[in-house]
Amino acid sequence: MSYIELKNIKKEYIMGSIKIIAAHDVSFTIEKGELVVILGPSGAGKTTILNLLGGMDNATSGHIIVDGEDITSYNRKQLITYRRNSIGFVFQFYNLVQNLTALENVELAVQICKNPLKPEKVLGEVGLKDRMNNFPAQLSGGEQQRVAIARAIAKNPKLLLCDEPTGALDSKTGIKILELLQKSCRELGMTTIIITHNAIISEIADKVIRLKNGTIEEIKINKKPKNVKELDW
Amino acid sequence: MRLLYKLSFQKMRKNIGRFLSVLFIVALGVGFFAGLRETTPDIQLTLDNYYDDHHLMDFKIVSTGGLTEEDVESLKALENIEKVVPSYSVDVLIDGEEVRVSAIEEEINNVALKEGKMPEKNNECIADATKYKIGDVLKITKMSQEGILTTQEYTVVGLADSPLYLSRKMGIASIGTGELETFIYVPRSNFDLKYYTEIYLTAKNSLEEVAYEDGYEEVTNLLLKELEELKPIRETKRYEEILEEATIEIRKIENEANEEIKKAETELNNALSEINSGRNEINDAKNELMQNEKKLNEEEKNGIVQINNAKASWEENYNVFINTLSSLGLTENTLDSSLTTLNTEIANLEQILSTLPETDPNYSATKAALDNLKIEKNNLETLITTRDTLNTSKTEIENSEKELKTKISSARAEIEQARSQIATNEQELDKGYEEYLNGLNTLNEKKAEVEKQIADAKAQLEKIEKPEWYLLDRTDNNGYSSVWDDAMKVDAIAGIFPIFFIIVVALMCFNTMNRMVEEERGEIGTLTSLGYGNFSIINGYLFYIFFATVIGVTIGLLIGYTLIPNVIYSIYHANYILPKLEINMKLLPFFIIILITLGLMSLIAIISCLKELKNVPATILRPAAPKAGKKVFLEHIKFLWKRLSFTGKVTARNMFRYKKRIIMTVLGVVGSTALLLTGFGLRDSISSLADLQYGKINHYDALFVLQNNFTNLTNDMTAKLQEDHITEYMPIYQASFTFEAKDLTHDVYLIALSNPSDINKFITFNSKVNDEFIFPDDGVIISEKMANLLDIQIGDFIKKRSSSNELVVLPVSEIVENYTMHYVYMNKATYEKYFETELKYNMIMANLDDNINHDELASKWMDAGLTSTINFTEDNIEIFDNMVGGLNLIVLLIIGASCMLAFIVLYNLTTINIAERIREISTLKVLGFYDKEVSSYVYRETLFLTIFGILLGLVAGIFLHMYVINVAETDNILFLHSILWPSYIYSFLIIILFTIIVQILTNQKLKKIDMVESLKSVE
Repeated sequence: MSYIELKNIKKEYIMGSIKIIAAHDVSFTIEKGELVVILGPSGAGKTTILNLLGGMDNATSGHIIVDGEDITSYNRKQLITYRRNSIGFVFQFYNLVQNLTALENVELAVQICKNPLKPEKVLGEVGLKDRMNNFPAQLSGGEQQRVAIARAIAKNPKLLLCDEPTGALDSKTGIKILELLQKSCRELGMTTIIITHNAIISEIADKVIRLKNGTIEEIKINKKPKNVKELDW
Repeated sequence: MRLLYKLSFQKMRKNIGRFLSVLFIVALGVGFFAGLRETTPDIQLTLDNYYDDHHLMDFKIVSTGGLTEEDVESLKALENIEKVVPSYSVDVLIDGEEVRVSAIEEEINNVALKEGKMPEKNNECIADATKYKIGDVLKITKMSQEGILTTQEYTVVGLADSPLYLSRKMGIASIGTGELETFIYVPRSNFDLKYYTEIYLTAKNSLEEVAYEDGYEEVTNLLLKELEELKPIRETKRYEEILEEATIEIRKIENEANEEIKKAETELNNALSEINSGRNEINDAKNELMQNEKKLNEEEKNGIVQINNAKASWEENYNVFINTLSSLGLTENTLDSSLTTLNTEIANLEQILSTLPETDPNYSATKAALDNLKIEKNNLETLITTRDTLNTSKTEIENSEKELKTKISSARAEIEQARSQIATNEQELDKGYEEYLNGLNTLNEKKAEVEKQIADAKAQLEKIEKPEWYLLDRTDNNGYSSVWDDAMKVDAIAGIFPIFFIIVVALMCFNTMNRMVEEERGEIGTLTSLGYGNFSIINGYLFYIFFATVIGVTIGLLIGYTLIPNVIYSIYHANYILPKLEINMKLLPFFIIILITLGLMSLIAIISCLKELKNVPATILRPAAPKAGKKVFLEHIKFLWKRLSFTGKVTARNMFRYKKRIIMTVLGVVGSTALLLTGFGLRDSISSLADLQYGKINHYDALFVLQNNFTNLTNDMTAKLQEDHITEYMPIYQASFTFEAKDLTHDVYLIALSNPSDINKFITFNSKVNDEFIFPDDGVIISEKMANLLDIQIGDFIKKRSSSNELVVLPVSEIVENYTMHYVYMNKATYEKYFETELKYNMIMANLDDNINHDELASKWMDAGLTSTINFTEDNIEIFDNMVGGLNLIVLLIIGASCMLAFIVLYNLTTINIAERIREISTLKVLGFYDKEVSSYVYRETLFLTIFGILLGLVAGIFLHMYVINVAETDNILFLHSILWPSYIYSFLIIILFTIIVQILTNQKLKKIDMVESLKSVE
């Protein structure tokens, strides 16, 4: 059995009298330690999948099994616990708490989970050893995203979910972030899912899931995923 | 443009909470502000109408010399006068209570009839509606000046209030305990007086002026000036009149007395002349008597001489006779026998002779012998005749002697009788004379007396003081000034609260608008980029604000105008007897308030919008740069910072980050807490008074007000006390006086005690200046508030002006704790020393058995004629509590308002807090914070700030309370200045409770935050 398994996931939103189907019959599996890219244009249902995987939303039907647990049957509190211990998020806009230093932002996440990594160490690993005590406003976008990644990794989650992690960054910085993600996946064995509309990024993935209009268009397994540096940006 | 308005409506609908919160903030602020501001004008209007409708006088003149028709005429001649109404009043006792009886006047000081009708008969009256019932029969037992009223018994036919008696404490009476209890009005014809006791005046144009306003003052001052000029003139005139009247009276008395004396004198003179003529008569009689006596004596003498002469001649004859006899050898006794013998011999010889012829020798011889014998016989016979004659004359002499003697003695007896008659008469005459002398004495005495009387009267005349006019204005009515002072106090209190509210409201609105504009930054950017001008965009917000403000102001004003003045006015009813409040909804202030509020709110909206609009559209379109985090100063205090938990650090940072909101939160909480504590503190200050005053200080059970004053308790009284098992009692003297010190005066109870060493059983004195209270032997004890008001320290003096205007100066030796009324205590010796009169007790302080029935006790003593009333301390507590009950309402109002304020402030700020930090909160959620953890992360700082605010607020509350107490305190009451500890706890808990309620309410919002949406983009 795969580490993560989506079975016939369907997600409907009801907006007034209109029913919007955001995802329909989505099924795929992800193995432990895999780097997966979910690819698709805007409105293809990427974020829906991410939300469902991240335990921020419940599916209308179907099952999501993570490490043997079916999270679709989770209630609100169980979902929070799931997010708390099993998921690390990296957002397009970093979502750092402005009022906390880099270190504190990491600590904020770490203090609530079961077996976290040491914040200082993780920050060191993402290359922010010297900037640990800076506030987000004092950091560049890339640095902020590194903090965000450090925050996600430090939780020692089962799954690292990244929503357009390079979306707000210039390409040079974006590459560095992707490098970091790839590195963490490879070195720490962190199962990582990157959501993006940028097809180029998919080249670094072990598995590429292409979405379109809420359904899976294609699941492609890269036998030889490229290194970030090899990418033709 | 129309679309923009539609957008505004949609904003209202979509975020109805925000719209309503702006609306209610405005409503609350405006309502409070307007309500409190309008209270005093409403009360003023109500009072002014009350005064005008019932023709309340502007001035009242009373004079120590009474007032006359001439006074009235001269007053009518004044320029600024409107009405002059001479009238009568007198203070009387009815059922032992001091009642002022006034004549009903049609044109002035009309009563406000509440029930029944105006009197039609002489023995009907209008009475105090708060005291009597229709049909009550009021019997006057005593008058301050006897005989003034012709009718002593009145039936109540109407109940009324009077603008003359606004305060339930009606003032000073000139009878009884000196405290006026109530009033009645009787028909004028009941007064039987030569002069008026008072004259009521109104000033020209005063009716048009509003009471208590400067205009009223100005108008009445015109008249006052005239009155003051007239005063000395009329006083002198009246003085002369009184002098003249008195002089005439004296002259009349003098004349009458003189006439009487004259009459008595005439009578006496008559009596004297009678006596004199009597005496003359007696003298005449005496003379006659004397002459008669003399005559008698002469007669007697003559008689005796005659008799003696007769006796002597008889003696002589007798002697001749005797001598003859003896020459004849005869004795008187033998004379007859000799004759007989001779006769015999003659007869013998004749016989012989007859026998013998003539020639017988012997014849011749015998004849010769016979002849001889015959001669002899002749001689003898002559002798015998002589003897007989002698004898007869002797008898005669003896008879006449006897006769003389009888005659004389009878005459003498007559004379003696006459003499004694005269003596009697003389005695009587002497008695008469004595009487006359007595009469004369009496007359002289009387004369002296009359002279003295007249001299005294004349001296008195000189002592007659010039009558003094007292010009009293409306402020002389108990309550007229104080009701206004109280209203001004409410105004003063009202002054702080609204400012507080307005500031908070303005800040809240500013905050809300700011937030709203910030949140809609994107929209504004879009609109700007679409080419909408700043004006149009601001207009949209103004439209929003316009709705919220107009509706809010309207609601606020409607509620504020009606509710607040009525609540405050109802408090007045505890102390005053007032008409129903007239709510005066003036349109102009209404619109002014709307306009000002609108202006203010618009300004807020414009400032908020301009802050965003000053940027170019592109900048506006981009999300606002998040506020940068910063190290807070706490972090530099390493040892403290290290000790803080992680969340503690976060909280500390946040608090310094969102300074504006933090300050607002703290301010709001400080304000609410301070208000709340003030509210509770006021309750403490007020409601504990009864307990303190009547439980701790004046803890005696009853005060017997005696019918008669006495220097020592009568046996009756002690027996009665014993009978009722009253073992603890103390006679006291208590009276209500006006005391002065340093130009200030106050009505005060003077209490002189018979036995200060026992006073602890009845009154507990706690010295405010010394560690231990010792009853001073010399000098007086005064109560705390009086000391404050008159600014007196120990060693200062208080003065009391006696009725004859003399000053009694008393040294102050001690100041004691006291909360209601003012008291001056002293011992007997002090009283007698300074007042220079013997102390007479008029009341008894007593402690009663717990099971004694008060009503029975009172009626028993009153029926026995011993007391006029008994005041039970228990009743005082009740009265006091009633009074305080009213004040509790205002406390409730304050508490309610502060709770609302707390709620609105906390709700508003919490909502904004959440809105401002929505990304952060979403992040936390995504990071897997449980709801509770999220809440505590968000609310911790609010809670901390709230607690910090509460603590500050409690401190601020102490000062606010102090201020409010100082403003609200009336002259007769000393509020407890401290706040009891439960109030701190209540205030604390209530604000915390509201914080929690607000958090529970906003927690729903927190839960509903869609993390996905808020994480997506910054907008």
